[in-house]
Amino acid sequence: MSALGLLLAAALSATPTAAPTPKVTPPSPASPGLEGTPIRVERRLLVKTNHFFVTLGADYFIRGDYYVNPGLLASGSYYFSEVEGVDLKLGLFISFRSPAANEVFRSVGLIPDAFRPIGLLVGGYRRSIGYGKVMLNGAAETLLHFDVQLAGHAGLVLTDRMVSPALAVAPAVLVRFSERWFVQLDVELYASYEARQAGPVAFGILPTLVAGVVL
Amino acid sequence: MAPALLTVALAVSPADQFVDPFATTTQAVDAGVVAPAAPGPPGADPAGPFADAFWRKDLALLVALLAEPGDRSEAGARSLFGDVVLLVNCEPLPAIPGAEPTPVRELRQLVRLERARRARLGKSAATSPTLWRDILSPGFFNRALGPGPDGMLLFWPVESERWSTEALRARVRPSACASASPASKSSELELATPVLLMNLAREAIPDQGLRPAVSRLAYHRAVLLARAGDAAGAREAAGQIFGPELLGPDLGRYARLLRLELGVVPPEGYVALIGERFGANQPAVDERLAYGLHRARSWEQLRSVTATSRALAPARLCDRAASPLPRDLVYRHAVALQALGLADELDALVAHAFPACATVPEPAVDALRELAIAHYARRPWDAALEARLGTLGPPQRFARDMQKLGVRALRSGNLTGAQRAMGWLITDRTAAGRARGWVLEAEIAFALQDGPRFDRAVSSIFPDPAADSLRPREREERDRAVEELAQSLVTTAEDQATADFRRRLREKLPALRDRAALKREKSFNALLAALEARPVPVGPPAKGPGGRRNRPMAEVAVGEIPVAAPDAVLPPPPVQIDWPEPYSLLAIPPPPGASPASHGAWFASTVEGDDAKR
Repeated sequence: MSALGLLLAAALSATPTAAPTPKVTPPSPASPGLEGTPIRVERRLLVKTNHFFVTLGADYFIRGDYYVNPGLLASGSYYFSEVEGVDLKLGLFISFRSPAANEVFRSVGLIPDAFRPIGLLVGGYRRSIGYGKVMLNGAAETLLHFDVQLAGHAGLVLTDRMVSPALAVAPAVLVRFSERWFVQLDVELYASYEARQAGPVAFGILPTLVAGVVL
Repeated sequence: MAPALLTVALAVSPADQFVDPFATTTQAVDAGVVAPAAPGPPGADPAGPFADAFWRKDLALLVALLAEPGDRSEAGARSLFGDVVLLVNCEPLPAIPGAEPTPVRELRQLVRLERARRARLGKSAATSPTLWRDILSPGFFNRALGPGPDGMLLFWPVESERWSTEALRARVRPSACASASPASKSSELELATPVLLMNLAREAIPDQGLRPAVSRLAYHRAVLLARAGDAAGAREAAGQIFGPELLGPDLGRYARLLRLELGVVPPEGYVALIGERFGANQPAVDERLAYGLHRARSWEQLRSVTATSRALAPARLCDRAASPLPRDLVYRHAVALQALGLADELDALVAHAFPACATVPEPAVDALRELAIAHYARRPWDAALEARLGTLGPPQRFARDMQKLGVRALRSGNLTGAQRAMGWLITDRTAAGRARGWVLEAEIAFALQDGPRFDRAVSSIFPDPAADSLRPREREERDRAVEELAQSLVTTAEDQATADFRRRLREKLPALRDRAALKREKSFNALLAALEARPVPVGPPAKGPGGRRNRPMAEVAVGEIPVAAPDAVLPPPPVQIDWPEPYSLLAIPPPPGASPASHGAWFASTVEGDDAKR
């Protein structure tokens, strides 16, 4: 398991409290000059406000439809604040039938009615829901700051037969490696329109791992 | 993967939700730089973290540290810095528990003393040269949780897990300083008690770092008592100033002056203040300095210190409505010039002061006039001298001044001058002037032991009663001159007169007594008794309180007896000195590693001068 995976697991397993202020043991009410409770303050290192995040990376569209869909993904995000931003994604899939689908075709001559995805073009909204940091082995140089996000996208999935409208939602993690470089991991749940025997909506998962620069 | 030390924290609230009211303050501390609070090593100063936060003006950190749990060794520091937080936040201060140990108790009392000072200063506190000018300035202390615009800060709960990039902070209650200044339960003098001073001074014997605080307290108490008119209490307090130098150069020089003014140090100590600057109090200090130099007969320094008094234009110098200090300084400058033999400068100075000051009824002006007359008495007689003499007073006192000139000339061996003065007087158009001329003539004759001349002069003082046409005021002046003559002659008769002349004097005195006003009879009788070496006649003994008989009071002749004059130093006129107050009365433990490790009063950069810096 990679460190990144560990980071993701840790981030997702952490449960942020809903209260706007930290819950700690309240100090003595007579504490001089105190309003509320003491806190620990840190300067934000992963700064997004008014910045463009430009990325390029890999994705893998999993739909369970006898197609294997690795691909390349480029995205650009812009954040209005540390909480909200919008982004645009452009993907290109290198799709091919899975070995299992080829075996079925060879044995019975059937082919799947699923459409072979070729690319996607979506735009959407991103919202930060938490901020975290992780340090391995207690070494300060391994300290990583990251943002936990939710994203929603709408757009088109280009297939070999039609252009399908699609919607997606995703948990995401934006990890800061340095002042300029970062990595973004999205795990999108896709729903797209396709005229298939099983129904008009095709669901899929699109994990993406992209790296980029902050402008 | 080997189990790694994995530490994950999630911000529980987006930083953007917090609106930092002081986010733009320039004094915000870089949160990334602020060292996290950590328990000190064993044996470390328990006040260290609190002192460090305070001296960095980081109120948000100090409040947070005070809210964190601590061990028993920190109790004193916590209570003291808790008071400091309440002070700078203008919140009520709790009573000091009776079990509070020394010196924490005394240091907390100083905080309350400072609060009482603010109550006294009222609205002027915000502009006063005290720490209240800083406290009442909203941006003086850093109350911000961190620097930068909104959204740049992350807030984490306080946990035992510590991250090097996190800083302990707390939201500070809004300052109550903008509201009306709170009334203090006790006055400053009720708080700055002798017991407080004594206890603090006792602690300062082994702990030298407390000595500046003791000196500040002693100085402040002395000033308060002096303002209240308690000179004895003020003197006692000023005597407990450990050392004026501990107050820094600015307040220290005032402490030295205060000790001089209160008599803790003899007036000769004023000399040490030469060259020190006292701002608006400089004339008053110069006056005191001149007095001390006058007493010490340090003529060159006296001349230097009083030199600026000559710069005033005569009209301003002699403005009766203005302060008498410049006139006193001119007088003492003249004394210095005379002592140094700088006759031309003295002439110029007298010409500068007179006739503008001729009608100013003040001891310094009178003394300057006497000095001028004594100075002229040693000079050859000429018309210019007569003209200068005329400027010293109004016309009606010219004859008196001329007589004084003659007497001074006679006593300084300038017989020619004395005779010229006598000649001028006996030809005066006024009868009183002529009488003074004959008085002077009698004194000259006495000095020469010329009996016939003396007899002629005495008989000429009082003309034939039928021809004595003097008005009452002129008679009074003549009688006074005659009495002064009699005093002078009797005083010197024992040493200077021959037996024959003393007999002659005994014959003449009753005649003078009989011609003078009846009210002067007692004085003449006393002089006669002195001349005959008889006991001084006294009146019937008066009964004092309780029916006891008072000791008989001799009727001592009063008047001008020049033998005592040379060493007399004119007392200085009362002066008003605006005593500055210590910038801070506090004594706050130093930050860790400070050198010297003395309790500080306030932040050095804000103090004008360094009277209160740590």
